[in-house]
Amino acid sequence: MRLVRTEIKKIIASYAILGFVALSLVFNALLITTNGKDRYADYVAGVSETIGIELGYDFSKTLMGLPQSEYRERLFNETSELKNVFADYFVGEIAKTYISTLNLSGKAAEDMRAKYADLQNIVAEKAEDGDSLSLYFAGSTYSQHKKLFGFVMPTLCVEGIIITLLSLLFTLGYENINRTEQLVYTSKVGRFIVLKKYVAAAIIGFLAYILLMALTFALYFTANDYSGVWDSNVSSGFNAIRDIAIGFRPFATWHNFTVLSYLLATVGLSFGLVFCFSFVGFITGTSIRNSYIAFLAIFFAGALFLALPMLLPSDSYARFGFMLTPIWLLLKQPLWFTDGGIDVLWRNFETWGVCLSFAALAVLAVAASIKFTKRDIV
Amino acid sequence: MKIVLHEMRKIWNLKSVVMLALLCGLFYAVFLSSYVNNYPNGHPNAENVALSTALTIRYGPTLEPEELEEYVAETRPGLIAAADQFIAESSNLAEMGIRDYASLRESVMELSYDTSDEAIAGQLAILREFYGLAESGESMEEGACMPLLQYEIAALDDLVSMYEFVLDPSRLLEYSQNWSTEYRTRFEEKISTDEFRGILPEHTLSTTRQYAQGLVMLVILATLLCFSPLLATDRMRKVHLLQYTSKQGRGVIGKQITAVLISSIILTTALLVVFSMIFATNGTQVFWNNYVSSFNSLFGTTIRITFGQYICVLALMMYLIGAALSTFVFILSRFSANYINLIAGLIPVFIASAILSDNLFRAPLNDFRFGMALFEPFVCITALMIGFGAAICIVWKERRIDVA
Repeated sequence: MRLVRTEIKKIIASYAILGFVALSLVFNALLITTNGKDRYADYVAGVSETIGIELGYDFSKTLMGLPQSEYRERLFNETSELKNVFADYFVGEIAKTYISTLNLSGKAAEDMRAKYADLQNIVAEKAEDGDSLSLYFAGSTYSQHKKLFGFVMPTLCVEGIIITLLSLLFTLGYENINRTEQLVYTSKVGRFIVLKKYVAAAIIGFLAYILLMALTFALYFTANDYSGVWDSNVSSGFNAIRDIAIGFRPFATWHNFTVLSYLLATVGLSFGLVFCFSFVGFITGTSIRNSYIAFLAIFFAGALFLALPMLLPSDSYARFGFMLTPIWLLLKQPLWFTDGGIDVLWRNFETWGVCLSFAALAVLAVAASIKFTKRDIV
Repeated sequence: MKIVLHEMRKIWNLKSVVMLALLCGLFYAVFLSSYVNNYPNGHPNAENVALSTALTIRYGPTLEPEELEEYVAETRPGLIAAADQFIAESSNLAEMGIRDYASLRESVMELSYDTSDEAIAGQLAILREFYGLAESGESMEEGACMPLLQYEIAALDDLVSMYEFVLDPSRLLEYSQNWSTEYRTRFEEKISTDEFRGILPEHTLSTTRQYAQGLVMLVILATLLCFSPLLATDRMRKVHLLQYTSKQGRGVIGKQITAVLISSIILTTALLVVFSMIFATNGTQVFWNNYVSSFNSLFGTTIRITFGQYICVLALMMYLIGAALSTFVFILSRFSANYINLIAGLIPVFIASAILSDNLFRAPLNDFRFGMALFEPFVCITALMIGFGAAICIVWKERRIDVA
């Protein structure tokens, strides 16, 4: 533990990591404050706190008892017109469109149909439970949801990943930079120091991620009133997915999520993703001694994983496998816990993706660590 | 000069070149290839581009009213006849009382799209089948089919109506009366000259801008990754102390900034040459001498400029951005004690320069921002001056600081 503490001190003493955290905070603050304030969304949040989130006759009746305003009229019009969007929602059409757009056949087409057959059952349950008759942010739902889960969360996740990677590359490359490798590796702890370094960097990465998240969310939820909408269903009829092949379609999740539980699930899984990238950092940092080259290797590997599915034929089964890799999971974050769209063949792709990536990278990390203990360092 | 060359050799080593090639390959595959492979993208863009290309080849960069009249008289009857023949072969359309292109257009215009009415839904199904568009969204087959003929006719008709619109100064001035003074003055200038008679499809202009927007990101990434380790490596290995004891002394840092700036020009030139050649394969260079502010693109540019000159301005802006960024990278590298500090600095620099460049290249010379006709090049020049000034200050201070 003493060595871990020392390594943590080394990382903190490097102004680069702290500076990056500070810059990330400034960036997030700018992202939140320059995005424009939606006063109607604030009004809806206030209304939902007063009269609840379940839409229906009672809601409309109570709403009309509130003071007259332009926003009240708008909300009344929007909520009274809202139908149970899942009642006549047939997702088989989505599968058909995806299959014809990508020219899928065989196993890929079967899997695509199976995914949407499963989703049809979920949709039927949602229709029965009236999940879509939930207020959320009414007419501002799509933009507000996109702001939080499409901009703020992915930005935070990327920052968490970068900080973890920088911490790892810094601590693993530290001895090489200071030409103390031989000295450290001949000490009692020897080459196993890399494990302590990993723990130290992972702790720093996670703490920085938590700190960033806490401060950013504090600012975000101060600027955007969510007080009344936490219990709204995330599959509200006002929420939507913008699909490249179909256009706007209902936001159907595999499980029943409120806004709060969806946020917690996304945050939880994002930690898993950061964990995966910490293994990537460890594997690269122990395999490549030069930190700059190690960073470039990660950069190019990420770019390669990003490019390969685009270069493969659209009906290739392997193409869909890439969607389970960390870089694609990161890009697909706004669609987590939904069907995932045209590039995804399997339900719960994000959970499977993080678990499989974690397992594969853990094995590679152990292999890299064993290889490192046997490597000729002179 | 010898030292500058040696410093450049440090930048342009084999590893850098391989890395650059890999970066370019991946970047092209992910971000740029679609602007070349899928140009012109979709309908009626394909028909508009084909028509504009044909007109440019035949009549040159500008189109006179009699030339358009001649072209329409030659081509439109043929297209209509082909469409009429196609329609005459359809028994379903005959049942709906549609016997030629004119009656088809009339029916489509008059049809209410109320699918709850069975009769209308039936008519819509017939029309959909005729146009070859299955409900599932299957793509159209290329070749002589009705949808393509219709797009060709529509492209020609749209072009004629746009041309007639720009030839009527009173309608144009009425159109522009709520604009800013600068914009109106410029609009009047366009009306009084032959600029509006230029041929340039909006799709070609937007594709070129988007390609340039992608290319400038590549210039930024390549500049950051290639030039950043130069000074940081020297400082990490404490080679700079050895350099300072040489005959050149502390003047070495001046040579290093020179090497970085020259390398930046070489890098931008190489990227521009390679990626311009690739882009040229889509045939856009046929519009080289055509005005950007054509009758197809009323807003056009803030200055009288041809498409070729516009591309040169975009290239110049890339040189300026590349050079400005290389000076910032030089400064960052000078203050980075190790690679991690350098990387931690490179990421925010990349984000800032990417946001700035994305904004500058979205629609350059399209709007009088802050009342300036050349706002975007001005920002690029300012960025270079700031970067260069800061780098000179560093070089000057380096001669006097205590390095021990």
